[in-house]
Amino acid sequence: MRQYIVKRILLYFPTLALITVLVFLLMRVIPGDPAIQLLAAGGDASYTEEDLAKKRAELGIDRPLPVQYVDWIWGMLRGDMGKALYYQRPVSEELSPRIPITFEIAILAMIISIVLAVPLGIASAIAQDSLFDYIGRGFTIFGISVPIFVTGIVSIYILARVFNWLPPFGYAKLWDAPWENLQQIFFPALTLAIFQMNFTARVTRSAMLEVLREDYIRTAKSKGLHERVVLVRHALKNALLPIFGVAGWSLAILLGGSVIIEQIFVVPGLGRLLIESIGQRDYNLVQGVVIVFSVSVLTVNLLVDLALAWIDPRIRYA
Amino acid sequence: MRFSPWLKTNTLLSILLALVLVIGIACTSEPEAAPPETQPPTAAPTAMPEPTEAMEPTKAMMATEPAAESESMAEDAPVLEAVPGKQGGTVNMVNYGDVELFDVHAAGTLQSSQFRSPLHNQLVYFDPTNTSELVADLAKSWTLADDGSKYTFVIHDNASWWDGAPLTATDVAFSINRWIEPGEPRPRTGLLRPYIDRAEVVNETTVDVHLKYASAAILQLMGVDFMLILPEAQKEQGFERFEDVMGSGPFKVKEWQRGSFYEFERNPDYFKEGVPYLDGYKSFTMVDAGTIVAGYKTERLMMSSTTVMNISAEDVAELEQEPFLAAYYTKTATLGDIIMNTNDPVWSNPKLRKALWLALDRWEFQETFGDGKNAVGAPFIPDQWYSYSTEELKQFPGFGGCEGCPRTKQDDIDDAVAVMKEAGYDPPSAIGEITLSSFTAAGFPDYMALFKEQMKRNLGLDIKLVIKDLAAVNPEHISGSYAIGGSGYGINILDPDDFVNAQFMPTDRAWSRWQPPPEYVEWFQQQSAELDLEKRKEILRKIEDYLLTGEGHGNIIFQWRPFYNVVNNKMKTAAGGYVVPDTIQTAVGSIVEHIWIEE
Repeated sequence: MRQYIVKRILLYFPTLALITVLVFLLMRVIPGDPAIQLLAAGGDASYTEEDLAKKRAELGIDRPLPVQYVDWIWGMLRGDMGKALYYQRPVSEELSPRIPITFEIAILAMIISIVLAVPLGIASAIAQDSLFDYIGRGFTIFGISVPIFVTGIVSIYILARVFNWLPPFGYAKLWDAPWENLQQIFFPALTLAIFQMNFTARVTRSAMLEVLREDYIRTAKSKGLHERVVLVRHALKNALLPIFGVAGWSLAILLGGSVIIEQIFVVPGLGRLLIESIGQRDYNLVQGVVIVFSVSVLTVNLLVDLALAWIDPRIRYA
Repeated sequence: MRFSPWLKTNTLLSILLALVLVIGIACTSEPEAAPPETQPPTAAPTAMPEPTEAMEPTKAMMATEPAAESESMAEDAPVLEAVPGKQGGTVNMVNYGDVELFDVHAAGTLQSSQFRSPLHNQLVYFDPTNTSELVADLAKSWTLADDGSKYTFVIHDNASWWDGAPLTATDVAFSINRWIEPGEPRPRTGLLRPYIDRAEVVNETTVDVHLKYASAAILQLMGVDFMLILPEAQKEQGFERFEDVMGSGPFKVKEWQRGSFYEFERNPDYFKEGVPYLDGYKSFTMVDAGTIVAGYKTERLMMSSTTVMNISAEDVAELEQEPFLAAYYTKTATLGDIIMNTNDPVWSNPKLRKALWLALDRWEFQETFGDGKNAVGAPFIPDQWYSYSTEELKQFPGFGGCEGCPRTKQDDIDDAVAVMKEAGYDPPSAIGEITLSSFTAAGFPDYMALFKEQMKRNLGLDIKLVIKDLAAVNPEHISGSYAIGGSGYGINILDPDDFVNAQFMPTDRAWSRWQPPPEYVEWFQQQSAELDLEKRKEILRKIEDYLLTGEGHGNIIFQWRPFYNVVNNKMKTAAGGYVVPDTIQTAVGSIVEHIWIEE
């Protein structure tokens, strides 16, 4: 197990390093220049080449790319994510109020999706090829096919048209105004959950079907155990392993979905910040947001993998 | 090294998903953004022009009157009186884009002025209950010297900055001099460079503004939302950062969250009695039209901070159906245009630019966009005192094909084909593929799609549309690395000096670099200096006639359009309901100072 943990942790860092390289390069290959963006933000194009060079030097983007990269990474290792190019505020200050918002939505979405998806998947598996199963499978395929932004727009439409109500815009802290917070967070989370639950439900169904065909289930049944005991004690326990493993993917999907959902529901989270900073070609801020997303996803994946290895010895000896 | 299959799959997929997320977002254009607005000043006119009819001159605006009369006007400087008993309440508003530059003097977009304007004072501003009129803000009175060489402003002596320091003539003079500071980017405040020489402090409450020449346009331009008074004490630290924002106006910043919202609260130490009426307001940056519409319908949103919104005319029409909402339209003071790079090896040929001018079907744009509220795409805003009427424009080449037009569109197309043949392109498609770059905002993808279709249909031209977010398109247009593009501009005041300066002068929005004939520049200067309105109109007619030939200039305006605000009927002013500004660049600050919510 120890060897597995070491190997797994060692893989974490090269992956993160690759992501830092990619996000760093991607921001610099897409069209647009933060210096021009800043100089022309007011709509004035009368700046000179000297002004442009001065601004690029001020922002530090006139240096060779390897130097910029190393500088950024060195800063990160010391806990300094740099300053946002656009408003010259520390990236960490821009990120810190938004991280809890996005993660609150993502965690709530994950909870909702599991609560809805696992029973649906189990019921579908138990009643395989029944009408219920067909409806359930149809529903999940449909749900996976509909993009998150469509679900978000439809949610807004239904709330406004049918109920003549919308959640309050913005974000109230959970401990300051719990009811307002719940209203603001619930619907974005539900929208994300509707997408995610279909995936989880399908994984649950497949896992259950696989387990239900195992010899030890047949043995348990032949021993005369009650159906419920067979399902809960023997089948579900083993089927939960792949469902648990999906959690890592889920976070990535939910964080990605938050970029759109936060726009639609006017929630001031990381997703909105990412879009804003890409529009302004604020390299440092985009890099900061992506790193937060990536570290989160990688860390959850790492924890899930370690937990799975701990639960299931087959994994660590594979 | 061997790992579990699950580990490998899971990790790789996580990386892949993260990358797809980044690449996907990076390659996606900004959903909505601001319409581009740029404005460098042009050559200074040298004499004193008369007030224009575009804005009916009021007593306060009659800057060119003799001093004796000006003195009496100074005593009667119009001031908005507060309506008693209306205080209280906070409302939610929507805005189309977050502040771009905190230094409002260096800014050119409404995104900056909408944020700063309610936090500051101007000497004069546009009356929110009658938005074609100027009224006093910080100024208590003003006079114009006999010889028109200077304005003398007397300001209120009880205005103060948020830190308690008094707002004095030093701040006013500093700000005015900063508006016109040479060598610095001043896309909007620089409009006053042709008129103002310098400002000087006379005493604590008096400022002399020395003029290059007097003009009614000066006070109008001072009423534009960018002409804010900033604290002189902050000149060393600068005005670029959010942390540097220090105001004196009706509202103070409670919170700002980048890209999401700003929240303002009433300034308890405001020098004006009884205003603002609102305790505060929160303005959300919203790009999704569906959410904005839903926000209005559920009364989560009461109005927009400005007259620019990320919803279409069709959305507005839908909202107007609600009995508790009303839509208000500005004048047709925003233009959409095709810009052609006069420095480009191909598009430096004026014949090509003329061919596009002729082949553009303006009436089809009218039918397709604007629901009848837009004005036809002529160089000057049609139907103004100085411009041709829509009916008259029908006579001109390039305007064929409408009901009542003497020319068919085919006549225009034939002329365009002939012009392209003269330019060496026979057939026109011999020019090859043309790349047109434009941005995602303000309906431009649809405008450009129609333009592309028209050029294919009328001239057989193959246009490759490249639609990107503003951040990607701006550098291309500004640096001149484009062939043709789609662009737009929101004019400041209705006087033709403003938009002719912006659109059709050698120093127009900097990317065109058009070189007009020498007499053209003289006409512009003459009209700007002309005292007699009829004579000015005659000179402006020469300019318009020249522009209507489609010869040379690098801008083809395909449509003039109004912008709009949707406002809940609970929002009231002393005039009753909300009153829309003439242009998008005026009255943002004065409106929020003088509006209240009536449950």
